[in-house]
Amino acid sequence: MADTSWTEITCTVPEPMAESLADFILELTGNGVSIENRIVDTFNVTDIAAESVKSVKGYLQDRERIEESLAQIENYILSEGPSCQGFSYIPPTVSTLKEEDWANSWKVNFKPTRIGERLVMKPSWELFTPLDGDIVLELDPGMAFGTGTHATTRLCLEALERLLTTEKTAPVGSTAVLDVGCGSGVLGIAAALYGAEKVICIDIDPIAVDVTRENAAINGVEKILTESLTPLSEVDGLYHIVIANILAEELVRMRTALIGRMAEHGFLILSGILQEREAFVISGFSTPELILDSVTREDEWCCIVFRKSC
Amino acid sequence: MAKKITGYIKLQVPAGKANPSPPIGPALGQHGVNIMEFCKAFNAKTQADEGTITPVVITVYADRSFTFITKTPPVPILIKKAVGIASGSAVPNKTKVGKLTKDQVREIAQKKMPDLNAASIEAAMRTVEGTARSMGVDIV
Repeated sequence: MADTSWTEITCTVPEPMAESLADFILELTGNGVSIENRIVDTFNVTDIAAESVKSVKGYLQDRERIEESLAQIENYILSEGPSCQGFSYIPPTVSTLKEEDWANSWKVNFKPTRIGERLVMKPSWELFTPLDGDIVLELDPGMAFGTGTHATTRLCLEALERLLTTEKTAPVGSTAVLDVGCGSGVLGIAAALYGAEKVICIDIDPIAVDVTRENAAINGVEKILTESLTPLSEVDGLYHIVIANILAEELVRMRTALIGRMAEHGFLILSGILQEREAFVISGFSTPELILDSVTREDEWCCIVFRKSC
Repeated sequence: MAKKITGYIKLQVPAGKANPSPPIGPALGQHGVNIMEFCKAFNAKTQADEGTITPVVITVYADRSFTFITKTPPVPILIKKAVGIASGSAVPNKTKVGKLTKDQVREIAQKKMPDLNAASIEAAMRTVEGTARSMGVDIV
């Protein structure tokens, strides 16, 4: 059997030479390359661009070429590096990657997960036998936020369950829900599965709208849920539940438009709020129309629910 | 949605031919991203240029969802096209495979400027010249 392992050459270099080194390795190896950042934990792409050191990785399958290729890469770094400010030479590292099933190995991160009392989120490839009363939401992770593995999504789902099944916000079968910034559509789909009669999902990202449409069909709620790129300012109607899982500053900026879509005695579920921004959002939504209903917290995040008083 | 970024990866891979082998598998696998979904979307978007090495920047969010944007081809591809050669020199210091004028360097630098993160056109030109030298292409 042919040896299918790969040799990975990792070079740690100053940011200004990462591009040209990647080009050089691409030319040398004939295989794709990657440029990665050491640590990323931010909301802002410009923070990442500012990082001073990058990791450039190249790949070879031909063992006989490793030494020669490594020498050429070292020469390149030593000849081009000194023109970069603050350059200090870090020798490239070499490691062997066993040919693993990369097409499937990422799936270990996604297992059926129970959220709240009754909702179980599961990816399409996992089998799950529901218990009596369970609601199964099938969703595969992809190009839209809302895979169910993040605290901000889970907190919203728990709030939805409470409002739609425990403390019914409207007569059964007549609840209307608006999800602003729907991502994968997970919240709107859950609302439909919990019994909402009408669900409107909007997002500014066309991919999110497409993904929501596909996910709604997979879960059989496409007749209840309508997805679109309609801006919040152009959405009409009033809703018993308005959900927005975005970010604290954005929520406060959208305050008037969000409150304007709430039906009498309706609820507003706000998520995507770091606990350190909880007071900022509560004061941002301080108006005689709204009563603070609840705050739930998980990890560094919180979810704030308001009720409209009239 | 609360899109906290946990991964920011740039790859250079052939358009229309993405598959889970390196660099895509290891680079995205470590972030737990749906690799087949990326390959499918990337290939669909780039199929018109099939085979051309295409840079792609992937942003991974805290819940392992992702987005990507494709960029202009890498500098060596543009140099080879400008000089009219199939590949660079194996011994760039000794064997020269072609020549690039300053105007051509400037043209490539201008094309790549949005993607190079260079402070000025001169800085971008220096990057292009460095790449050309490493390929055995003289600047005249």
